[in-house]
Amino acid sequence: MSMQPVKFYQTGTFTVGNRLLAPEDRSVQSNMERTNSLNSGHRACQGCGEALGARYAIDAAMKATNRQLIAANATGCLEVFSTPYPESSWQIPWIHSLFGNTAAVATGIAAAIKVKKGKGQGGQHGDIRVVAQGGDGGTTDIGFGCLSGMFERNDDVLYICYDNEAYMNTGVQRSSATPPAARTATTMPVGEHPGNNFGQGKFVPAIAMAHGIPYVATATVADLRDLEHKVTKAMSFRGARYLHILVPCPLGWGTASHDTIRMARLAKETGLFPVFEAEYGEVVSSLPIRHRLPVEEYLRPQKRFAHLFGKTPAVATIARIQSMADKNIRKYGLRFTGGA
Amino acid sequence: MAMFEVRIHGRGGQGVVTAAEMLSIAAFEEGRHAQAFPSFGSERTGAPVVAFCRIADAEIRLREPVMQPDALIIQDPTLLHQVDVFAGLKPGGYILINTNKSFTELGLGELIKDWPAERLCTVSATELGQKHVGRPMPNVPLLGGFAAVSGSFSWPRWSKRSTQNSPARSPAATSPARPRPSILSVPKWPQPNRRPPMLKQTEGSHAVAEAVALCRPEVICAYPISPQTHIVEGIGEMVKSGELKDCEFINVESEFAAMSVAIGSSATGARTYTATASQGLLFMAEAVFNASGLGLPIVMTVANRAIGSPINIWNDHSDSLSQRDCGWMQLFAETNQEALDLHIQAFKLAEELSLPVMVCMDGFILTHAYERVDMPTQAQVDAFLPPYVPRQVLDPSDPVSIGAMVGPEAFMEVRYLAHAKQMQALERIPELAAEFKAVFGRETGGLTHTYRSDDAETMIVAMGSVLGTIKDTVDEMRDAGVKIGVLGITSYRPFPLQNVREALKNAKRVVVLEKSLAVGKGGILSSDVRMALSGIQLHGYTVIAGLGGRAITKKSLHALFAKAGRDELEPLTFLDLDWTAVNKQLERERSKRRSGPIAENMLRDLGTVASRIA
Repeated sequence: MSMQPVKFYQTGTFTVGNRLLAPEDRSVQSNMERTNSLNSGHRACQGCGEALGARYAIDAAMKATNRQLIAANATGCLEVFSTPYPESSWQIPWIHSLFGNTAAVATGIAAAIKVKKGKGQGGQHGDIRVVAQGGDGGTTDIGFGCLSGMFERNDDVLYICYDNEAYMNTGVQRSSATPPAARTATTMPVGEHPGNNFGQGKFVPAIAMAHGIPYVATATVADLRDLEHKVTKAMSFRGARYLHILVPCPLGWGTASHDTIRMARLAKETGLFPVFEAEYGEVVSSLPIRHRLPVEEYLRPQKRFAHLFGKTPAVATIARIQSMADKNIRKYGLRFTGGA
Repeated sequence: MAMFEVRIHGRGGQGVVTAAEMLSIAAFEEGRHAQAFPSFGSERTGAPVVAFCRIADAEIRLREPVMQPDALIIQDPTLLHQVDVFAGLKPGGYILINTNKSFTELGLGELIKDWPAERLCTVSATELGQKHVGRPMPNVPLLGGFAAVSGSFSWPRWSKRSTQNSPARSPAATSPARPRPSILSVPKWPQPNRRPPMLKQTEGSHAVAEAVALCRPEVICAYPISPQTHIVEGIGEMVKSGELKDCEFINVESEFAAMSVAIGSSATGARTYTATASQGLLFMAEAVFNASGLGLPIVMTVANRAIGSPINIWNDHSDSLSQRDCGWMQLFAETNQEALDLHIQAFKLAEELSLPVMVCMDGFILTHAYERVDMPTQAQVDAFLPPYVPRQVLDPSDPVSIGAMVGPEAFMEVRYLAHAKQMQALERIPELAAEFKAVFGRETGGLTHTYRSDDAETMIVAMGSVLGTIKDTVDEMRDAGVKIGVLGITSYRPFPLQNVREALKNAKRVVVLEKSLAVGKGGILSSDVRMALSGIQLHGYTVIAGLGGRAITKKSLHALFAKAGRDELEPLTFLDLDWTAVNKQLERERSKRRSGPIAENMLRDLGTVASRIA
């Protein structure tokens, strides 16, 4: 049995909340006072990236708001696995309305809070804040109109998209966040151009930035400290904020349950998923790639890309994906230049 | 009943509609009842526009366009050769034309040959407007001319209004003719300008906006769709000016978002209001069902309008009736007063039962009609409507999950409870009407109401503003000895089966006149009525009328009801359907595969629509 070498960049990823460290160095999840907003016992799949991302994001938001938080949730995996009637994993006031209206529901909550506050009926422990959350389908596709409206009005809402790159709840169908060449139930690996088409899809963080809203950031479940930091920072702004978190889905991606965090890390380290922050439409920081890897390293373990690595590897397709990663690295300044 | 009817012709941008409104306000200020409304359209600047004004000494119920005017005001003489402006003008009626030519020069010599000279008047209104206010706005000078010719109004009645709404402020317009004896009886107010303070002559939409504001809403979502726009515009202005405090006014990007924002704010404990119509209601349909499923007491005005295709902005009941099973209560207003009052009742009803309410008012016919309303005081509304105390609320100090998934094990029960709440509403709605009367002194609301139904052999069933025209027709038929009565349905959901049965069971025949169509079957309302009459033997007729704003006239109703009385009516009748046009299209489709788009074919067959009055 060969030993897996410990890679440099694995340190400091805080995947278990650094619970072996001193209390002040721990992340929210290893803090004894954590809120467990999304409590254990829910029905997510093993290795669910979305459950992990939501747990960290909402706990961080709870901490940042002194537990004065209301969440609106789109239809989707997160909603289904967290609230099968009559059980609920949510320890916070939480509402699910529809698939495509979460941003607007959150706007309504924020408006009501504002009026109540004006009447002296606000939170007992500081301002009540609102988080809206949904998957990539509920965000980039069906909920996009409401999302853009909420951005444009600069409503005081943090919208979190948990992006697993397809409609996993309905059985892995393509969304506008599905990457090129990926196999889904509606982009099967057959024909001349197997998998999802190139030249389609949208990167909503960039569209969010185009609205000029105060804060836009991306994150992955591979770096939960970074994720918490971004949620906390988002809560320090007023107005519309957007956080786009890459959350690998073992079922939809065809990866092992124990590889969720590794896949998220590879997405970032190959440059395929740029991790950055933007304020008022301009990129202000990005998480550099410490140990750059070719996209093949990311694609190969995923069954949704298995057709690229058959008897005749799809060299040209892989090269196309590599060029997308290279472009991200240039565009978002992801090349590690040394220093801290 | 003495009634004086004025029809104003002009072009978009000439203040035609404003002129009719000002005329109605002037009549109101002198103590009369008045009704002003435009020939509802999507007219752009320069297109032919018609507006109407009725003036009477008693309440005006009639809602048909002015077919036989006592007076014509023509703001643009170029229309004389494009539109049949003189259609239906009563012999010897008043004719005012904005022109510096004579009637003969305008080619009207033949028309006015035997006309009383004092009923004819020309005013160089455009020039007067240009001279005194720098804009070619003929409406106010013409009204001045009308006041002088008719002798009915004193000029200052307009001056206040005109400085607000139009640049004209010139008394020069009084010059055309000497004042003449009034055409109507003396003012009703005991002293000039001493009318009861809460009475006002205003547009239906503005009346509703004011009423909603009096209900102290906390969140209002607005998305523009005709004909509800004036309502949210009115409220938006009140929020902006600070007149309506502690209220968030949100301009959303779609009706779907409007209802979704409403869901969020209502679930957070805020009293929430929005308004929509037609396509907008359909666009928000998913959220409409969601709001009632979640049990959120949102109040929404539906300014009833047809659903396309073909796109049509005019009134019928297709929109709210398409949502009849969405779980919202639906209350239909007959007049603007009732629309105003029903909104106040709706908030109380919705919040008591934790169920949303639609207040349905006929688009344009009510929303854009100026008529007299009795506006409640804030103290009255506060006495009637307590602050909103939610049954469920998103509150960090007591977290709950709202909107969880429910499987087969409990879904039936949840749905039954929604039904049970509406059954409770059947009891609460009449009680609320009584409580409302105790505070406001008016009979408004309730489940149903009957009119001259004692001993009626023929009963007419309808909803909304058409009831006024029906009642006027029924009065005339009663005068002629016909035993005919009316059942008006205010609460469409919940549907008061028992009340309907009681009201109709002794009749020989029932005519359900509805502004909706169940394509492939017939009536929607009539299906509900038939269910109420289950087991009772009587003649039942369904009449589909007024679709897409087709005028429902007293003349047509007379013929219809007479035919029904002889039991010669078809079980399903389309009132005033143009069979020639229909048959022509059917023939076209028989003879030719590529027969083309239906709507466009019909319009081509009918010719220029703008030349028609109604």
